[in-house]
Amino acid sequence: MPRPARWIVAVLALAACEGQIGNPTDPSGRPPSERPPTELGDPIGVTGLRRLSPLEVEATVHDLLVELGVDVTATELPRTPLPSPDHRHGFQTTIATGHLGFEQVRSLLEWSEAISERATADLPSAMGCTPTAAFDACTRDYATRLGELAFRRPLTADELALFEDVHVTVAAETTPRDGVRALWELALTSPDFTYLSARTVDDGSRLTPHAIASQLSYGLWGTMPDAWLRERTATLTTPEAVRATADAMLDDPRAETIVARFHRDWLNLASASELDKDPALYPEFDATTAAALETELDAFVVRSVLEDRSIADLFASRDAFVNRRLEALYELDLRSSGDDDWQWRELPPERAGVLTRPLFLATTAGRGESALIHRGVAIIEHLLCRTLTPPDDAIEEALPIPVDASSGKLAAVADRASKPHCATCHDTIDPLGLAFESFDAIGAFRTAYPDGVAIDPAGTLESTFLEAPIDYAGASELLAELAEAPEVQLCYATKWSEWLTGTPPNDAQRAEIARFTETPGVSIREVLLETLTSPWFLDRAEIER
Amino acid sequence: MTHKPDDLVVRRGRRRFLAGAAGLLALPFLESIARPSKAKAWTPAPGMPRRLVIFFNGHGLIMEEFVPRAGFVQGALLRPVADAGLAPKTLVITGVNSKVQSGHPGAPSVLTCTPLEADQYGITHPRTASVDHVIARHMQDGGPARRFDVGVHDQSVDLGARSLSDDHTQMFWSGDDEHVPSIIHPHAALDRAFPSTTGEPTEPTVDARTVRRRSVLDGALAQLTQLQGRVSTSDRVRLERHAEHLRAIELSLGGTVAPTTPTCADPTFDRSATTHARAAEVLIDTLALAMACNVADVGTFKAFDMEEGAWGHVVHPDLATTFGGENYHGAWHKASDQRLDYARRAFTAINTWHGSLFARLLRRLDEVDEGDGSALDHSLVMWISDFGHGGGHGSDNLPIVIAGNAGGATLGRHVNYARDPASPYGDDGQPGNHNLCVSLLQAFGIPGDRFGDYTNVSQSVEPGPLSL
Repeated sequence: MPRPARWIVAVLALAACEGQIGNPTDPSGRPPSERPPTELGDPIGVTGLRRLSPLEVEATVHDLLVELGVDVTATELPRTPLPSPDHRHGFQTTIATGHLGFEQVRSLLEWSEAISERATADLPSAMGCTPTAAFDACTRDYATRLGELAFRRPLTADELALFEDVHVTVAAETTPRDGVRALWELALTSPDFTYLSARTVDDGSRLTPHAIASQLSYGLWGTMPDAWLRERTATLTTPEAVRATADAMLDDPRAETIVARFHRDWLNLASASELDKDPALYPEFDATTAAALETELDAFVVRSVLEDRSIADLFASRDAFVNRRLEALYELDLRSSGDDDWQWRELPPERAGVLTRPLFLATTAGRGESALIHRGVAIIEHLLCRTLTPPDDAIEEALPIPVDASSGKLAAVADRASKPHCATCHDTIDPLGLAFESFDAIGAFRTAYPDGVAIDPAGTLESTFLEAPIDYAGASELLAELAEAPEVQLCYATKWSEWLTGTPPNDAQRAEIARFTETPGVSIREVLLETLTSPWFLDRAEIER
Repeated sequence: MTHKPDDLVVRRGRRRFLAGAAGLLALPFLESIARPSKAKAWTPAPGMPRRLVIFFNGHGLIMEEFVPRAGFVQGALLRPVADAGLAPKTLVITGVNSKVQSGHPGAPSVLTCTPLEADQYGITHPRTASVDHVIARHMQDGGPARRFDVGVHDQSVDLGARSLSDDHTQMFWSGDDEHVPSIIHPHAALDRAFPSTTGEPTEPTVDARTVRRRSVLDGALAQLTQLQGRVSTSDRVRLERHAEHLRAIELSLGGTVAPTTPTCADPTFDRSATTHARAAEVLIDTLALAMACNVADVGTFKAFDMEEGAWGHVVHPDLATTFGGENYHGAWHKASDQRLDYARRAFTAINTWHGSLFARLLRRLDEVDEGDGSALDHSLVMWISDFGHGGGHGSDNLPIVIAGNAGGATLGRHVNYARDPASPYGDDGQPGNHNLCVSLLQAFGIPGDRFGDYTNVSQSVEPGPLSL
């Protein structure tokens, strides 16, 4: 049988897909070199108040309750009614511009009441004294601690007076406990709790040390500053001090959680409980295997980021953290003794980096068969930082994609290629997806579909950002080449900048980030530390009043 | 010219048209409700609906099971309405085209009739309130809207969750980028509607909560004012909006209409819900009761995109493997070709469940005697989705049911706006969502023949209401 023609992926031709694939930072379609400096933005400072994400609010309330002596182990805490950031826009930390509507503000108040109920269930034990209707030393100390923790900065005299007023007024009409409940409700409904502080020092645009500490804490730990960080806060007045603190914070286990969450958000990865595979085709895939995929991916990205690995390594490395199930999935010789015996191993050459790991491959697959469109889209959006807009029109005209695990989907690929309306985008999406067809719906390597039709993942990638076309025999070759491309490394670094600041970098900031990534072999950790000490992390742009 | 309805069978509804006395006996909480007094600014003109209730499910329906057959014989989806004897109180409308935007991004434009705008982060949202909120404001003479929004969600049986916003399809908006969240937990819904009856065990009296709220809201406002001086103009606008809402909540403290009947003051019914199906029923019951008790002028129910565990109960077990583990949205995508038999069967089952919830809402309202008619007769109730056929993601044939007071339109029939080149509605021969929204506004006495943006539309749209 003659070898089928190689798929030629021309990312170069993305312009032909106008209106549907584009660069998010460049709505005009013109490259930065052709645009006036005023359109490139300011390298300095981010504007905009960042509202805490629901996960951050919940982590903060948990820590707040623990610090204030409340047992949080007994029952689940009420979930916050704050809306999640738009799921189509990735990161939980992205500044949500959405206004809080009346119903949301009201729901937030009700939520604060449910929390205050929990917080004050056993006040004498939590406060170490018994509150009265007066704002005596007992209640004043407690209110001060509560306010400072919730607002993540010292209270002003006016604020302490406000807390006093609220407590005294409420307690006089009701009970001392209601007075304390009102303090909690005030703390949790204040904008100082909900929004990250953007206070700057009196004489300039630099954030206050407390604002920097909060931003570091939410960016790297996903929660409020702890006692250790609060103690160091006063020193956070220079980039050097910020760097040293951030470096130490990256060694904390909480940073591992955030590094894992960043990559899950970035690649839109399913959680283990969301993975559901056809038991007839994948009898070995159960909840324990699904959980192992998560463990493996988290361990890989955590090591990449926290152990001075390079960006290229993230996309090309064949190191993997595996237990016995994963050894079997990867077809390694079996050395692990079971589910709990994890070891670092080198994978076979068909693997390269995070995008050939089973969690990504199983996410971008159905129950029985890989989903090549999802994989192609993931490469375009996550690796190359291009945006895709789904077609407006009904999708009925395209040949349906069969749900069974067979080569039947290749007919649908050919059908999309033959329809100009589909082909504008699928000419790029589908060949990229086909490169990953060597991995089935649970991410195991294969050379043929279940019906025996051979898989040919080879192709050529051309793009303006590549010095020469990439000829690849399969996904691992493609990824190994892309891993070295400055465009890909910059794309990844801008994602971290967006995570840490809540805003995608503007063109001027992107140019600065490109400086960080142009050092050959620069580590991801170093890129993070550079970003955390950059002007757009530490400073605020001049704001119009 | 007028659109000739497909089906001209008209049945004028009798005032009480219940399935039987057994229906009443099963509903202790509604028996003793008399018509609540109207203690608000807005007084409906005679014949005008007293309240608006919208039932929404995302991702459209299996349309061939939605469209009534000749003789106004209901298909699977509306059969629960017919079985409750309430079909004569409904008007089924098809062929309305959502002309601002189709596909998922179009959901927020269905009832706002305005295109979405992207902010500086590329996140799109509507800039104006949806028609339900405009009506709610009108009913309070422009004052704070009195709304009651509930919905069934994955976490509706999870005690931790109260109100949530996150979802694919956001239909209800109270203003520029202000999405209206839905209360998803039955207990929280009851607590919002009837706070005096559900105080937490440790809450001494509801007055303590009101006292706290007054102080807390004052304090939060002071904090907002403080912060506003330190932020950019756009953030200042955000914070000002936040402050407005705090003031509105404050105004509503103690100012709510006192329930006038023993049942409204102390509604007792089985609110326990350990399954999603039961949670949905309790939320529907609470919504009906809240509306009948004049807790709000506008109420909504939303069937969220749920994980399979939450909606799988309505699908035949044979189909469970087909969508195994998919959420509602993902399952529609898997079933994007509804020529596939399993897809049609699965979604017919799910949409019929939606139909049974809608029927329950109508039944609950119809059981409430308001003197010269039932609460349903005095309400404009609408079922709508953001797509027609869910699989195609097309918005050019919205499924709509209007029940109760349809603003004077005759009930008990199906009006289909088939594409007609001679149509007065625009080039495509179909009316737009704008026409539907103008109909709703006019039903509530809001003058004018336009709502939303008539320029940025996929197909031309004419001013005026639907001709019904």
